[in-house]
Amino acid sequence: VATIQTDADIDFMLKDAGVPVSLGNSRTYGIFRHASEMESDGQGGFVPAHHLILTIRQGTLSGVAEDVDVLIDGTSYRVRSVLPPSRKLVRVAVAG
Amino acid sequence: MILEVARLLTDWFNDPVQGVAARLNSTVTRDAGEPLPAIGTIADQTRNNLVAQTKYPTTPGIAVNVRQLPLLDGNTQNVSADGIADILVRVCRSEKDSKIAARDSSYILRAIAQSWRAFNLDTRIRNQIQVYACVELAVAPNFEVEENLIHTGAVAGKLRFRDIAVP
Repeated sequence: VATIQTDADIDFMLKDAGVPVSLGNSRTYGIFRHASEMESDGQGGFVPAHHLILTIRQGTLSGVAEDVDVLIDGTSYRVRSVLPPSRKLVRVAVAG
Repeated sequence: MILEVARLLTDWFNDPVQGVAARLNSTVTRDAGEPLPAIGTIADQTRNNLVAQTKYPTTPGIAVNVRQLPLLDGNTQNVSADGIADILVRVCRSEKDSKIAARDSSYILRAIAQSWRAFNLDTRIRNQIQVYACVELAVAPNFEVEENLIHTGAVAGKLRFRDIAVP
């Protein structure tokens, strides 16, 4: 069983299984996952919530921050939250 | 009782003269350059499956639900056929920019409040359920579903009614 240890390993995995991501002149690859569920609407009812999470290697997408637009696989999304990094990976919640 | 109050109010909100869209077009003034917000479908829980499931009829959209219905039957010597319908009118929209959603929701909630106040100017009757007073009207805080595009707001109100079919 191979162990992913180096940045090159991670980049290979993200490029192999992910989609192209860009922000300005910064370009990388990331895993883009969708999940949908019904959530409280805060008013006593429910709404369909679509969670879009982009996983990239930390430091590979310059300028990624809340409220900026990133291009994921050719579509523009607005960053809602940059979640705390887990080891070398960063998860970015986007909407669009 | 639930059906009549919900339908009376929903039909009023869809009225071409007194309804929410009409108010939004005429009596709700907007800051210069800001577009007329889309309101989508206005529906109640007795005529729309999604609203009956406490969802929204469309996005954007407006859902009218009766939450509870306390009946004022405490006096056994003098039976009252009155009650209070606790109604929640929820508004939702989907916008990439949360501030745009908050702006548009604000205009729409004001239009709902205006339309509802006009509803209160007279008694309304359906199937011998007579709505005769509004004892409470409030705009709830807006809410943004976490990490999502959905933005919601609501107007809550309590309408007193009487079942005039009760002898």
